[in-house]
Amino acid sequence: MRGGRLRADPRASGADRRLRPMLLFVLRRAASAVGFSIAVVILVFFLLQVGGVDPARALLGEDATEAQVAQRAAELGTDRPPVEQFEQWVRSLPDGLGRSWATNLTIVESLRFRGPPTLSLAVGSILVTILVGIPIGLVAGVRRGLTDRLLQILVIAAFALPGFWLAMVLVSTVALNVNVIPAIGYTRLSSSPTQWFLGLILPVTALAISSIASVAQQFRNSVISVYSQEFVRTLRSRGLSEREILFRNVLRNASPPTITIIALQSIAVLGGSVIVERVFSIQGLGSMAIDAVNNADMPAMMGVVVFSALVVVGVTLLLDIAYGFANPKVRLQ
Amino acid sequence: MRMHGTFLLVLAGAIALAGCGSSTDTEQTPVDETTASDSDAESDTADADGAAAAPVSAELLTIGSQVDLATFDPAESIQGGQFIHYLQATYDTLLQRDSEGDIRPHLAIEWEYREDNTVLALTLRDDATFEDGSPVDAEAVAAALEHLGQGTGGDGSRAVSNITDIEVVGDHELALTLGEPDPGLLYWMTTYGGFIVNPAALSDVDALASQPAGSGPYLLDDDATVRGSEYHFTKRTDHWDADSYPYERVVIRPIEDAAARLNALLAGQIDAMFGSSDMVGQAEAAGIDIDTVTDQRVGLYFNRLDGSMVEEMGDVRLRQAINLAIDRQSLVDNLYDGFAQPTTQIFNPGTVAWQDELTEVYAYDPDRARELVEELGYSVDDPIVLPIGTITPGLEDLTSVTVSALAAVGIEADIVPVPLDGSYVENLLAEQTYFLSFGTAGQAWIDIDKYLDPGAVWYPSGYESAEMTDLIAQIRIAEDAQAEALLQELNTLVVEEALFAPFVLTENIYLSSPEVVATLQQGGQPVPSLFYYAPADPS
Repeated sequence: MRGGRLRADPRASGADRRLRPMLLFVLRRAASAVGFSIAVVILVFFLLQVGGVDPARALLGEDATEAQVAQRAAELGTDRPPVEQFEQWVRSLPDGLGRSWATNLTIVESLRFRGPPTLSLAVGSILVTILVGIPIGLVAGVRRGLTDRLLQILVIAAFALPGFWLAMVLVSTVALNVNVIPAIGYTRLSSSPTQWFLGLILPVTALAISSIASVAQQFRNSVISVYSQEFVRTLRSRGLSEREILFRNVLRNASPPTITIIALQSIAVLGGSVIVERVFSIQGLGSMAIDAVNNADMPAMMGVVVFSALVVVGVTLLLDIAYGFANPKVRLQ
Repeated sequence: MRMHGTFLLVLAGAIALAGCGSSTDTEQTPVDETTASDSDAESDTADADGAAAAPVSAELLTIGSQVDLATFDPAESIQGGQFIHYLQATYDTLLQRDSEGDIRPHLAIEWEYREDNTVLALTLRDDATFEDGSPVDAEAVAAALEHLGQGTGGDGSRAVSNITDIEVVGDHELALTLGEPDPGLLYWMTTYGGFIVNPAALSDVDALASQPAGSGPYLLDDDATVRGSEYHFTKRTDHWDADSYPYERVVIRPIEDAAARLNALLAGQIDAMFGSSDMVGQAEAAGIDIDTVTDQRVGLYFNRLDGSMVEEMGDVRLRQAINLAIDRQSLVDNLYDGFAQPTTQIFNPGTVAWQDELTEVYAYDPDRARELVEELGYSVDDPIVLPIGTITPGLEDLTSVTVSALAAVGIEADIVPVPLDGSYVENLLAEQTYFLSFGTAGQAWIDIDKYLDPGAVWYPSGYESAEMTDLIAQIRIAEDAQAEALLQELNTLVVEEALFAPFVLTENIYLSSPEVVATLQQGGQPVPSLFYYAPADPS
């Protein structure tokens, strides 16, 4: 019935013709993302097996006897061949992605506690990056001259600042002198929105600085590149105002590469959060990863890997889809 | 012009947002809400005999912990003084240790060894209850000790592994039969071998990992607790020893990074923390209170004294030469900023085994060390090669100094870096010698158990001595008066045989805000017990 209507309606048929390649494109990309995620997870699992670390010893501590270590290894299954361990891990997935060997919490429970701090940091730093980086890039690209050179110096300086060093400087210069800004920790948004916000100011700043520099630099170059193209001269010759050219044409054409950089930065922020979480004692995914490695806690490590793989693949997929919508050539490829 | 305006708008918005937050939330400034009473608030909250001190109260104590909670199940808890606050908040121990390290009553009000120290009779107090209101009686303690014994690898389970039978003699009396006399058992009952779990919780042992079930002075506040970030405990007003715990609420915040922990203390976000000597200057300048207690023994440990790896290690002269080559006082002054003392002994100075004069046995004497090495057929020009495992990162400075000192007497250190991962114990033990830092116990027997029992992980393997075995057997069954002389005799033997090369005893440093008095205890625990925190006298 519905098919009949579509066939009967030439406009719907046209929409269908346009949507179908896009749908196929999205499905292809999604299937590829799922396959990629599974491959990463399998690869990481077996790489962890060759680490040479004995989880039973790591969990029981230095004074445990060999017999106790052997008993715990048997309980954990770490004395079995890697393939059997992988099978055991896969079977544990329905139970909240398995249980941490160190805390006995399910990985889903751990992610429920550890995820929000890291996501707050990531989203916060990307927002700050966009809100600060793009205006800086735009001003530098439009104004050029002394403003551009000054902003370039600032951007290079921001690139050169190590995140962990900046984090420590921010704590000692800001948090220890401004009482309302905490030196460490993360407050849940549901507990106190104000404390949540205040607690994020310094770590987000530490995380965002290099992203701001990256995005500002990219956006400046894009703006300059678009301005140098012939169509801009054509538009000027047709009498369009500089404001119209900037907002209707230059920004639209300068944005795609910057969107790519922002998407890549959102992935990079996950890695950067490991150090920043440590300095600010924020118990997020970064610290969960460090704890898991220190304890040789395989289920927790795999939990972080699965989560990170999903984020990376998800962001990449969204980026592909966005490009697909924007550029038909990408769909055809 | 428009762009300039947009940029300023964004900037102004960000500043306004920050300003808005800071101006409306001054009541949440992360400082203590300490409201100490005007009663006597000296450092101890309980007298040495176990009687409660004059009650004082305060709202909140926030402790910065070096470690995150591993489990609330005492049977699975790995000992580490850092972990102890989590369990002390929610569980009572059978016994307690006071600030001098002496054992005092707690859940058990009387104890007595019978039948050549193979039976320990305990009498329990009759007014203790678990959080569900059920009594802490002999049946419950028996079930809890059995549960401890069923753990895999935790110190609690090791501590009670020598108990072969538990007899409930009366409602509040029980008798523990031991496989062999165990001089360390009472000590363990003050800590990981003494946490009593509610038997009602044993039907779901897995749940104990995240949900404590004890008779302790505080209850875990699940709603306020954020796993891995902050653990909130609220006081049980019906706890039999409530007066010893002056704080209405206790929050434990795991902050693993030492610098972050210090920042939190300086910013007033925590009240107390485990520190290190490099923090002392900054802490003093900020008016932070500093307390120290001797604890960590740092030095070289030996393996394969049968000479199966380096033949000469079986000869006491090489081990003595290593001990004589080290300028311990220089290490104290230059590496530890004075927060240490030289030692040649494996025991804690607070124990009866300690003898000051033994430290002089290996006073720095490189000439004598060279002579001993030459007697073995080596020299500075033709040195003996000695593999030394060293944890990395962490001991680089000590390793460097030791390499130079040994080279000066004809011993070439072959340094083997050992990453501090899950296999570091096995990797260290694979070497002839290794560096390590160990906490010394508050009771000599605990160190005997850990280092001088041939089955212990850190025993100098390959060493056999009928004299030492006989001494340990005598100490095991000795009364206190005899034990002191025997322990000193054993200590002398260990030093003269150079079974270890301890260099220094470092001091644990504990930092607390001026509003809190935190009293460290002698030996075996790097942080004060929870009952040793109190609000400072406001006067």
